Amino acid sequence: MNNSELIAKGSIKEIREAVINGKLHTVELVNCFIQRIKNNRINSFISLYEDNALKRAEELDKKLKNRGKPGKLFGIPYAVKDNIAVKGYEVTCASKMLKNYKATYNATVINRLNDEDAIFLGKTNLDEFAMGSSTETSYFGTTLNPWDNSRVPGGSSGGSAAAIASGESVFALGSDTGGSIRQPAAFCGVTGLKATYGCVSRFGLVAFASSLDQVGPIGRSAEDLELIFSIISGFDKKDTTTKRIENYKVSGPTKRKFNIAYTNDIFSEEISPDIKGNILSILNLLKEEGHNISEVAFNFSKHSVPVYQILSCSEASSNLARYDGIRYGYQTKSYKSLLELYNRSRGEGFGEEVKRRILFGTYILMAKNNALYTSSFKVSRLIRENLENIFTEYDVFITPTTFNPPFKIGEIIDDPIRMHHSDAFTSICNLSGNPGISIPLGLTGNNLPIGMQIIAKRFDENNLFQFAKYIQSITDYHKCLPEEVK
Amino acid sequence: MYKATIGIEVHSQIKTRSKMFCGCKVEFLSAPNTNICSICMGEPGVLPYTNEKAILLAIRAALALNAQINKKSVFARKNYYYPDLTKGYQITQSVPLAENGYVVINTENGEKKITIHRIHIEEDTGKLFHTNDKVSMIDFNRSGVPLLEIVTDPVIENEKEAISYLKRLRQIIRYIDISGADMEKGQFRCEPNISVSKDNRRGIKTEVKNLNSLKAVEKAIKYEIERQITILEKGGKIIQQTMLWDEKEQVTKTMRSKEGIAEYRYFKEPDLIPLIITNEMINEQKELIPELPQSKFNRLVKEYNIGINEAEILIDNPRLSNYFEKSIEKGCGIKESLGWITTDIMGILNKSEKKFSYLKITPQHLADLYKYIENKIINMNIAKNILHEIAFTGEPVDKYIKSKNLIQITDTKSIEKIIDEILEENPTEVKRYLKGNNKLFGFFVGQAMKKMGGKANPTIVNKLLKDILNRR
Repeated sequence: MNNSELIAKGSIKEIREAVINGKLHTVELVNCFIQRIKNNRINSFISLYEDNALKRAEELDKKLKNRGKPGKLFGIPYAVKDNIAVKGYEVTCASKMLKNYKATYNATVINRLNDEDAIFLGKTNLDEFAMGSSTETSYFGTTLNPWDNSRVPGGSSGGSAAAIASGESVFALGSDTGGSIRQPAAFCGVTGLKATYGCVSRFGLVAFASSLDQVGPIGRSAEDLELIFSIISGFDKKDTTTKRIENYKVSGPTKRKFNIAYTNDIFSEEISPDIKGNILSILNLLKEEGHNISEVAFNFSKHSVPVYQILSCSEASSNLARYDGIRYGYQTKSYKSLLELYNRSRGEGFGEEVKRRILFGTYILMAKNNALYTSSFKVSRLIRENLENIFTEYDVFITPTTFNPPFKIGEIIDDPIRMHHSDAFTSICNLSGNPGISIPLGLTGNNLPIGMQIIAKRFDENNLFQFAKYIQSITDYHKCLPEEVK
Repeated sequence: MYKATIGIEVHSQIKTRSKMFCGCKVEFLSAPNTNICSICMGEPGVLPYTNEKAILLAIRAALALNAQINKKSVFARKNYYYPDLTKGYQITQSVPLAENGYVVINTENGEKKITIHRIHIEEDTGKLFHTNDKVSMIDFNRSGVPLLEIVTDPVIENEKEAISYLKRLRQIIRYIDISGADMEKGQFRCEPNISVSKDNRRGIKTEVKNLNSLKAVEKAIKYEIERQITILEKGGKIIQQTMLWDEKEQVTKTMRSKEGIAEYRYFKEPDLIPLIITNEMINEQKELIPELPQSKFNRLVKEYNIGINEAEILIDNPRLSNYFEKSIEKGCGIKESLGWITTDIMGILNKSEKKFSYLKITPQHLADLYKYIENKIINMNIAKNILHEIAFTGEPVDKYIKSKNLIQITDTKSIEKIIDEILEENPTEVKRYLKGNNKLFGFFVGQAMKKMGGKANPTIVNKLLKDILNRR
């Protein structure tokens, strides 16, 4: 591989080795990504911190010269969804509310990446406060899908997924509350992970729905994601919901045969024929390779969205109460009373989708609607139990990531019910806490990416990665790039 | 006859060095907004983490209040908007740390158990200062300070019981050293709810806020009971509402009615895992609980045969009762020690506005003074004077008495000599006395004592004076 191929397609391991061996200078590498970001017109970044990235690259080059021990991500540039705090830089959440707000501390995940010598490039676009499935609710405008600029990149981590697909970064951090990493990964033809709830610290992730949110990586392959996961996961005393589990160790190659379950939803009318076709053909391939494949009736895909909406909006209505225009963030120009200060600041600072969800969540949490809230918890528990059942027999459970390939910009933005519906398969993992990864599975007839979701047992990322890496070892789907990147 | 039913909610700060959910200092007198961080300011992306020390202290309190501790309690969010609340919600508990406790108080009819419904941990808010009509300032130093909320059942019948309960509760909190419980510093806040009824049905209750002293609590409850009765007597109805005590006008005023009370939208705090209390934590705290006020009260009354009022004074401050018991142990008389402590020492401290810890008189001093009195070397008045003199020097009694030459004059010859002298100096008074003005006897005693620098044994002076005058 020559350097430009390496930069466009190389794995983290390959790029890091090239940098450490002096084949590629860190500054040169970073500059290359900065140029890509600057030349691209897909609006994947909200902010680019060129000077900081170059300064950091120089420091790393110096470190190498002085024979310092290179970290596991030495010289690897990364982008961060703009709802994760990086000290000293704006964390806008793609909202007018936080347009000029600068983080006063680093998220735990940022510290962990920087400790391994990764290089922070800038912040990527998202749906406002991560509420959406298309980045269309961003205050800074929609990100364009690199495969087809008339289409959405998915959301809410659309900027991060689009940045990876268009070669603007080696990996990116996203956040996933109902599918916000996996759905845009599928729409952009890249790999995205939502780990088991409690594996990755949320400290520094601006909360949407605390009991469902997880930070996770989007990247070029399951192999890269596994490395990132091994670095960002683990107990954090600043997030009491993180589990005290052993440090994750990257899994080696395997020759074992997997027990694979797939959902009968694949045959649903709602699934686009291209997605159904590609998933069935990969299942066939797996069968030919000697793995055990079984169809499983999973009856929760139709319940996950309403339950997810109820729980996530309830928590969001409380989590977003702090934006009151008093201590930071947007404050209305004029007001005559406290109530007016609140109403105007929040009314003017938040966009439509955010307001819709706050109102819905506020309504749900009212004492008289308590039954809706508590029964949603029950459904969540049922989903978890059902998955646990599946994993007593199977290693992994396969679903489509989405019903359809990426839709057109503006196509369903005015139809929130349809928009929310696209979380049906992904939100299952958030409700149950299970880990899920979306891997690319080729293209539709129109050259649009397709994604497949793999779910594993809770805290069994090892199995998840082994399987995902295995598929990526027998297929080349994850190496597909949009025309312009090739 | 109307019967009042009262329940009381107390918020007591828990004495920790740092806040409940972050590492910021807890300090009463810091400059505004100096003890704050991204967590207690509710900045985007931060998460709370629990202060273990606060939890241990809360467990100690729950044990001292005879409550059952829940092995698993759950944090919850109480959602409302106010500028002193940084996150738009307060972290409190839905499943409380402890339930079903009680405090024993003394009433006219003997002991009474005030049952406690629940005890839970929560966080304090910031503080608003209204500087003038247009500007309000917020100090967030208090934001996130740990609080213990203690809620009684509605079992209190009048303001006296309420005060007895609050005093006893405050004593317990101070005995177990989990809070200064200083009302003026806002470390101990009381919110009674009050209803009245003629029969067994519970009346509609009102809640009273803004009570900054026990006096205010007492007056407000009394006022509220009377106000409610007056309304009912006129055929009116009580409105369920929150009242504010107006200290200036000494009345309760409507703050907000129930209709206006926010819907708090409680739900489980998703940022905090449930609080798990282990047996080790409980046992560790059990060991740290000293003898508590009510048992101390009962023991003092029984063991030393002292009065109820005096026992109450002694137990109000555990250091005072320990001091008393030490002095007896060292050999002081019970009556003398009680008198010195409850009148002289307390008087000295009150007058000088100094804390007990500044006092240099030790129980040994009291025992020594007592010895001198028993041996008739000094009299009670001299002893009291000595207490005042050595209060903040701590000079040994022996040394002081010798240096000031205070040894009591018991030698009858010299006392007789002095009596003769003063009778000679006051001939008119002698004449009036002999004519039957008996009141002047005291005058002669005073003159004689004065002449002897107060050192004479008053019993001997009295006896000799009577003898001499009778001879005339």
